[in-house]
Amino acid sequence: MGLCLAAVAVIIFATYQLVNMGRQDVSYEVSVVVNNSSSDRWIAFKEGLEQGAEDYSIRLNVVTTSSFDNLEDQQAVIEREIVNGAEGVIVQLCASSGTEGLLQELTASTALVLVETDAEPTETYAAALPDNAGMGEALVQAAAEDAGGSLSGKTIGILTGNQAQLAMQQRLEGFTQAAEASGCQILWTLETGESDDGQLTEQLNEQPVDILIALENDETEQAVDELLAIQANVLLYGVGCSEKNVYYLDKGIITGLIVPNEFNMGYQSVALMAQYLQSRKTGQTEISHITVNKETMYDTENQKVLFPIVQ
Amino acid sequence: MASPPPATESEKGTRHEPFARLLQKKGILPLGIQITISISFTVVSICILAVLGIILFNQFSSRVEAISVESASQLLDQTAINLEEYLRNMRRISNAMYYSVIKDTDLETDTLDEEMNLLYEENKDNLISIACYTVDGELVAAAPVATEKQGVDIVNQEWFTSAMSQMENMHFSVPHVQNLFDDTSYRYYWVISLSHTVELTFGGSTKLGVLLVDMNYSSIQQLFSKTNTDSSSKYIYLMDNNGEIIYHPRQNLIYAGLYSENNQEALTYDDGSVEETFQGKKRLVTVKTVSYTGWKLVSVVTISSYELGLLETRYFAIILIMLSLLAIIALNQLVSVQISRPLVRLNESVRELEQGNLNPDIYVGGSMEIEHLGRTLRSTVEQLRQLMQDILVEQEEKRKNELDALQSQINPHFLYNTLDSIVWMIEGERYKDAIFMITELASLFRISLSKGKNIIQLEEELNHARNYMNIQQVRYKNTFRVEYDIDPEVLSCCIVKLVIQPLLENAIYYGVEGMDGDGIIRVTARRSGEDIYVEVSDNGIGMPPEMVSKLLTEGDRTPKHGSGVGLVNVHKRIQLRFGQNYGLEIESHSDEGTIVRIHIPCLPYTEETRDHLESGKRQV
Repeated sequence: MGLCLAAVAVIIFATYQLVNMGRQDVSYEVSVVVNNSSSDRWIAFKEGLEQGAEDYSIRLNVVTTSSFDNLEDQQAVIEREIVNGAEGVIVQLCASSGTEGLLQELTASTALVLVETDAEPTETYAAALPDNAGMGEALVQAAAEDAGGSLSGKTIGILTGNQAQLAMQQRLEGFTQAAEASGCQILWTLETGESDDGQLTEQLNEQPVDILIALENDETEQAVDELLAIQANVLLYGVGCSEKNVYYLDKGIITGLIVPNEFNMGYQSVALMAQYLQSRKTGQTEISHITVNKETMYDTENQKVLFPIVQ
Repeated sequence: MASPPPATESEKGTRHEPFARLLQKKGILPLGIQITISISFTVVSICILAVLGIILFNQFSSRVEAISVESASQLLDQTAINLEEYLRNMRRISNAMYYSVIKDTDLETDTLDEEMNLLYEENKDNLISIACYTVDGELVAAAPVATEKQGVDIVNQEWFTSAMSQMENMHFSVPHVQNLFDDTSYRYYWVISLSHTVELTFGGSTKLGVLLVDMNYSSIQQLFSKTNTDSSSKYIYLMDNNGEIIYHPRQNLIYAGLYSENNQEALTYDDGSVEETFQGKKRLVTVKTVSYTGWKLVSVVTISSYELGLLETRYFAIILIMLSLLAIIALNQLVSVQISRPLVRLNESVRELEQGNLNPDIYVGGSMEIEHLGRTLRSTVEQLRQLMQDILVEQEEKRKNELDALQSQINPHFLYNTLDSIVWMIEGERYKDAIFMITELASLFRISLSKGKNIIQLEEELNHARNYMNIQQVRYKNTFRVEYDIDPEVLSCCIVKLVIQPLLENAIYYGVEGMDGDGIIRVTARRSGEDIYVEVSDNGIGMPPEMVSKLLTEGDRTPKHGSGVGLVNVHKRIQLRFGQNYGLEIESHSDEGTIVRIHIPCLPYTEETRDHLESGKRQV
């Protein structure tokens, strides 16, 4: 009798294991909400997302978005995704302050991973973030190297990007601190938007500078466009990764480019999401960046970051 | 305090059962045949199943591993064929361009553009561009037509230096981003460059140049994507002869530093399969060198991938083995019951015999051997029963003989005494008394004879006693009195004949003889429940207790008076007929008298009862 019971117990155990093996393939549904998702700057990021989704068995939905004007619009999109069954959301916040309520609400109902920019207060959330302050400092270093090691006496204008985002604040802070140390003079800072075409041109006409700094991909592109239009003799250093920016780096319009490893950011954000969904553990990953110019952009290692292989 | 109720027999049996099992477990008691057979069969079955299961599973594992190796090898071969075909095609383009176009064209008067464009158009699915440069890095022709980038250092590009370093060979580069032409749509292409030196003709004189065929890297990707459907556990990658990865399904991850490959180690492997451990994972790596280029195709299969499949099979096997085990246990139970049942039933028959039933129903059945055992046992029991019957008859015969012997001990003594008295009467001319004596004696002998019966009615026995006492009173000249107190109810009951007379004889000789008319002998008969008590008491000198206790045990002592038969004989005769619970009881006190009590069952006298008792059977 005992033997029979043992045999039945083993059968139950083995059946349970078999059924469980089938269940291990369960995948999670995750939505990605970033600003202007069709922008070229997200190509490498999306590659990273897709590779991560494949590795971690996640069904990914990159939501088609335009530029978010405010946090409420972005919140509406996120909530819609949750209602549609998203178990997790990867978000690039369009603003970092005043997000506490939104984030609490989101984390209560779903898994949340922030990309590119953190929220205030900076803690608790899973996030894959570049070293924003470090990228600001890298801009100063790139400009200084090109200027023979010192920026002393150079005048600088800064396109600050969306200063509602903590990432941009950190980049600006990082740049400003490093610039002050290098002895250059920041003549002005300008926060432009999509509808602000020509604003940079006006500013350059009013207060010409030796070096123009763009802290964000879209602003670097915009700076390129305006500089091409006015043929100004200004050295442009920017942050970006879009094909357009790379092209104009190659053309020499952009003197130096700081490129965050966007593929890495995409992949790590999915990895963090998977980790949270499976074990409810949050974590933060810092994304590396490289500094390239026209001469170094085709170096073996740099081209791996600049030109992601689209599979 | 209340004590627990006494255990019934069945309860005792139930309580003993766990104890018996405990003894069996400790090996003190042997196990039952059914359990022994069942356990033996089950153990053997489990061993066979386990051995078979392990052997089959190992065979299956080996086979799966062999199939995996074979499959990986086949896939690798197929990929190598496809890749070689692709590369051969690229070389063919390059050769066609060189031998059919460049060699025949004097660039001073003619251009390569038309033929180059034609060739490009024919193969544009796999190509990014075809270009020809002079040894100084000056562009001679390119297809598709595109604007050359300004300031590009052509001669220092890797494909150019490779071509110039070994001019006789074709050179395949590692994947890189093409840096030759300006594309205003911001597009950049990953290419693998095929380059080799060519001789360019300018006005009849030749000059060295480099022909470059930039293969579209995505064509290589597509070629591999068909084979790398599940890149996590089974994939093929490509590396050059320096171990530089050309294609890997997780190339972006490798570039991002998020994944690493054991390519430098794989470079040292010869073509064929080898098992390695990389980052804690066991992997089966198969290497194949691609002809001409020296590139190496590497197939990687993680052992865990087919072990996972094996794990499923293992669980299936376990379930099947367990189900088989259950079926075998059930079958074993059935077989063991089938085998043991006749033996158990035979054993039950033997137990019945052991418990004293001499007429058990001996089981005869089952297999031939057991049936033979049953028949033999039945025959043996029959013989035993016959033997015991014979012994019983013999004993009965012996008992009857003993009874007859005891009976025959009375007659000579009594006859001698009575005749002696009669002689004395006749000599004393007491003829009436003599007649009375003879009459009483005749009556006494008539009852004594009782047609040879040993069991008579109590009434007859009492008459016999009266006859005897009448004779004795005459003999003793009425020196004692006799009183009778008889319950008429008992008169028709059975009694062994001639049991009261010896008691009366003892009462006279050891009790009232010599009391000079004060002696009283009292005969009472009464019923008490299912028993009858016949008492002969006297008021004589009595006996001390020590003597009383010896009266019924010392059968060989010599009597002082009387027939010599004594109380022992009477006691034995009663017990022989009625059983050990009956017989004589004696009470006596010195100087007070003696009571001798006959204790017999109350059995109404019938012919059937008498015959039953006569035959020696004690219970009616």
